[in-house]
Amino acid sequence: MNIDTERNDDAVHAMPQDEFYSRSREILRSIETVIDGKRSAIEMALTVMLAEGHLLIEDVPGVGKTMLARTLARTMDCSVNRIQFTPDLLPADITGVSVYNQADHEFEFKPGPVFANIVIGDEINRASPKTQSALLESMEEGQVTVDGRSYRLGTPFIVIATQNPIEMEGTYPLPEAQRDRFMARISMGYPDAAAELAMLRQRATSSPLDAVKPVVTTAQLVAMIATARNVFASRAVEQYAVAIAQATREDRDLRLGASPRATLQLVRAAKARAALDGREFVLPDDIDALAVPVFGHRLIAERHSSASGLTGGSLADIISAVVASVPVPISAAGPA
Amino acid sequence: MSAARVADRADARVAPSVASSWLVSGLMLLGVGAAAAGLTSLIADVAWWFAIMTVALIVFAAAATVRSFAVRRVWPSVAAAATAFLVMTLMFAPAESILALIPTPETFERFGELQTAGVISISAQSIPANANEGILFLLCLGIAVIAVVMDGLAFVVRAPTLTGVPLLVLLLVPSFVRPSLSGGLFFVLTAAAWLAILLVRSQRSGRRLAIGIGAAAIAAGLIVPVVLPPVGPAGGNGASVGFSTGLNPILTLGDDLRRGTPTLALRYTSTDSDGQYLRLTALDDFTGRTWENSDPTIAPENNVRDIGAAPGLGEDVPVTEVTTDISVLNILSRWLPTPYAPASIRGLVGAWTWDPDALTVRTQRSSARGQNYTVESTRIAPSIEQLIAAGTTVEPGFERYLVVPDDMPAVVGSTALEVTAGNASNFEKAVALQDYFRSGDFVYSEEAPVDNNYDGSGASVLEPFLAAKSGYCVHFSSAMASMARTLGIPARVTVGFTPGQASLQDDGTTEYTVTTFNLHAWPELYFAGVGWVRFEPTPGRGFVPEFAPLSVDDPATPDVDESVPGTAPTAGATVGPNLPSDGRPDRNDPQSIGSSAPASTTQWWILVVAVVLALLVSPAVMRGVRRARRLRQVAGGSAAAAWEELRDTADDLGLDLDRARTPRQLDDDLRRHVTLQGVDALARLRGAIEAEAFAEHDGAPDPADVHTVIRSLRSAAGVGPSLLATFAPRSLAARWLVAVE
Repeated sequence: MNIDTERNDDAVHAMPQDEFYSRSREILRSIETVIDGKRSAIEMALTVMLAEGHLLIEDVPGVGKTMLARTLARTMDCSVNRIQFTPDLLPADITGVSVYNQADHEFEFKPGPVFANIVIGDEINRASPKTQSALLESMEEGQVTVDGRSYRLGTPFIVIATQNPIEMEGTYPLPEAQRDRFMARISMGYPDAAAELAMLRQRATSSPLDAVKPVVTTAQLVAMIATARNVFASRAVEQYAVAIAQATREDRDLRLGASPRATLQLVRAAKARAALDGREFVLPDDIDALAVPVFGHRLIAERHSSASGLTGGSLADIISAVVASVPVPISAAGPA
Repeated sequence: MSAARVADRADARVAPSVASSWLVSGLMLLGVGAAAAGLTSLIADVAWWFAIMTVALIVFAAAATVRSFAVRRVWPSVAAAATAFLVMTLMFAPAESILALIPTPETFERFGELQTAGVISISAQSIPANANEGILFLLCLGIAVIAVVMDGLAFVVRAPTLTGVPLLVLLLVPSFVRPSLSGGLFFVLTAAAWLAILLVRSQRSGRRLAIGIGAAAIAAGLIVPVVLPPVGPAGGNGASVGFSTGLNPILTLGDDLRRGTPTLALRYTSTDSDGQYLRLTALDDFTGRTWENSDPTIAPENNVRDIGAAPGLGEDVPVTEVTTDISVLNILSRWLPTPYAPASIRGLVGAWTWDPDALTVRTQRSSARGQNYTVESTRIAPSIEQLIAAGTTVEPGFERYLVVPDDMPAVVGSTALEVTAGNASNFEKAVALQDYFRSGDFVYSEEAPVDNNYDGSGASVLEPFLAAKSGYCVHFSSAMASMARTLGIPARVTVGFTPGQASLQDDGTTEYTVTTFNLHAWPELYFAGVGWVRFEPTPGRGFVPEFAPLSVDDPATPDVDESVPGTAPTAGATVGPNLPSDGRPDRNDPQSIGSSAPASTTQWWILVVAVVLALLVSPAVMRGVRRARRLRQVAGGSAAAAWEELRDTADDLGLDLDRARTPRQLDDDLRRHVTLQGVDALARLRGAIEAEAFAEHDGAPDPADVHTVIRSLRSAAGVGPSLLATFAPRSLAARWLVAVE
């Protein structure tokens, strides 16, 4: 178990733009050897990763949520832990426990599976709220506190959680405060017929996941994250993001609008998306494309609205409508 | 939440429902009705209003009906235009059309005639004008066009805001013709109808705009008439020529004389050695407040090719045949300038008839303007003996020329008796009256009557005039005619022109130039056995008629002899017309006349048309100015300007793009609407815009790319949308919306 309790600042050297671009293409290609026909979901997942955000993949069972998470983790040469959430999972099963060492006469901390660069939390909404919050606390703070002692988590630390839609049996829906920890929520969707057919053939002989080799090291991943962070977001783009966030707070169909943290994450994700696209600056198109994934799981529709369900496409429709109503600031004079 | 909502937010101009479309059509009809009602100040009676409202109703209803069924939104406009044409055919040219509806070439000829007749009527009539067939045709045509345009603006262009433009034009017509005529009430009513249209056709954001513009329209309606210079026949600089509109020209004669710049009225050459007094009309009715034309109904068979004999002309009275060639330039008149007594007129255009009593020549539909004609006339030259021989006889049928108003001041009659004391015959009395006015006690002044508030020709002004002894031809002529009537001499006031300025032509003939300064009024008195004889009581104006001297010395002769030397035949022949008789020789200079701006009601109508046209093209001009400014900014490196321009161009072309789109999305949207070169230029512009706005690099946009994309968009859009984009750019309305927001 690789426990990196110290932040290694030396590693934070931004990667040149072109190298970033070619590395990211390699990652995408590798993932696509396993998951076919899901380009946008893959790009979105990678975008969130490069923005050093946590990703929530929500969909019905069997569409490849876990496969996406595992493939993504496999392309990076860094520590990966996978936690299968079950109703009887305890917080200590995630964070780790202090064990009395008879030789040293001291309590010794045995790190849990959360101590890894990439943590895959499978079916996160099947665990009890208590256990969920243990993971979510570590996601927010980047550290774990056990018996009064805090332990720093790895750098990067990225949680990729999957969950079934709440209508499914045996699930505990995440409270909104905890949903807010995830940078974005994506769904896989069913593959089209051709992709499904191709998958049948591929899987008949062996697991394609075994063929996936890491294409970036931990240090490279850190550098890529730094590059994404350095992408330029103009004042206009920031204004645009803020305007959209404010519009969600004023929208009649939304009971809960976007939080300032949501706005922050939106811009951060937009930077990563711009970098993935080979750009050194954020476009409003990045904001547009990410508004639904970043805001979708945080906003709550009004009860009267047809979109009162927490999931589903209709909330996305409200957000799309809000985005479509906010003018893009182009002129120097600000929003027209 | 559904896609419909997204679309709803994205497209501010949602397609109207059938019910709201009928409602808007009704409101537009109301707006047109209110605006057209403003024309009541120009056009007498109200029957015409119902006629034009019928046209508007049918046109709007046709459009709305077709809209209820049609899919494409241009069809209702086509139906409206076709219906308008059918209605016009049915109303104005049923006889020239098959089944009174289907147009033939004759239909268009008829329309052409009506249009000409209408234009002439407008120019020839005073305000308020009678809505004769020609004017009604123009009114209906205008309303039909306005209805079709408004319907198109509201539903095809989907810019209900712009429906205010035709309404405003209609509302401003009275203001332009005469500022005092604007009716604030009609402005308010029209604005209310228009606001209602906006409220029905706009969503939330439009309402504040509607209220704002509505308030501005009302304010404009009240302010415009105040700010505009005074126009119309009421006077002031640039007013129309006296007879242009006057049913009674004497009312405006003073204004024309007082005008600062003379307007060239007509030119003529004559076989007579003297210049000719040219008569327009004779005012024979003095029962009311002023001298009026009794306006008899004249039989259409009174063809001017063969005019009847001068009334009362005795067989033994010497006459001279005179031929006069007249070219009328700038007078708009229902009366034709002719010398007395006309026998035959050739070369006239239009239907002209002659009045058997006054021997004046008039028309219903045509106008004197632009006419070139030849008048054969007889100059009556009675001897003094013949005139004196008439004694005091009043022939039967001439009693009406003796009527004076009941409120005639007594001083008129007493002065007349005093002046003519000792004279026996009517003629001697008349000469005595003429001499009284020309004796030197009276002075010619165009301003004094106005300054002292006794301007006019009525009975009430005679007393102050006789006291002040200052006035102009209207006063002198009406005073002399009134006094003659009190003395039992049949008298009337004639309005026309003094002979004007003579100039020797290269071919040896003498051409006379007559301007508005030659406008004149003079009395004509009737003597039994001789007929109507002109007198000239106005000092310094025209020349006194000469009569053959008496063969015997008669007590009456001194009066005549006194007058003759000053106005001897020689003087009349050579000097008389050249006299700067109005005391303004410099202004009579032909050069100054030629260069002076002609002003008439027609010109004001032209101005109105010009203003209408200016209003119609003003959106195009404003849009063009904005585009040019942005292209300058683009050349200066501003990609944002290029972005604005592209967005507005797409908007103008009705591409219904969402204004919240990002440059990349707009690129995708527009890509489908441009040609191949346009795609490349568009991509380059998009890159420049993104670099400038979001990378804060130098965008370095190429103005040529903007041109390419605009051209490409327009050519892909087709002729119709391009024309609409030019003349009804929707981006302007959108910007007003934003500005008000």
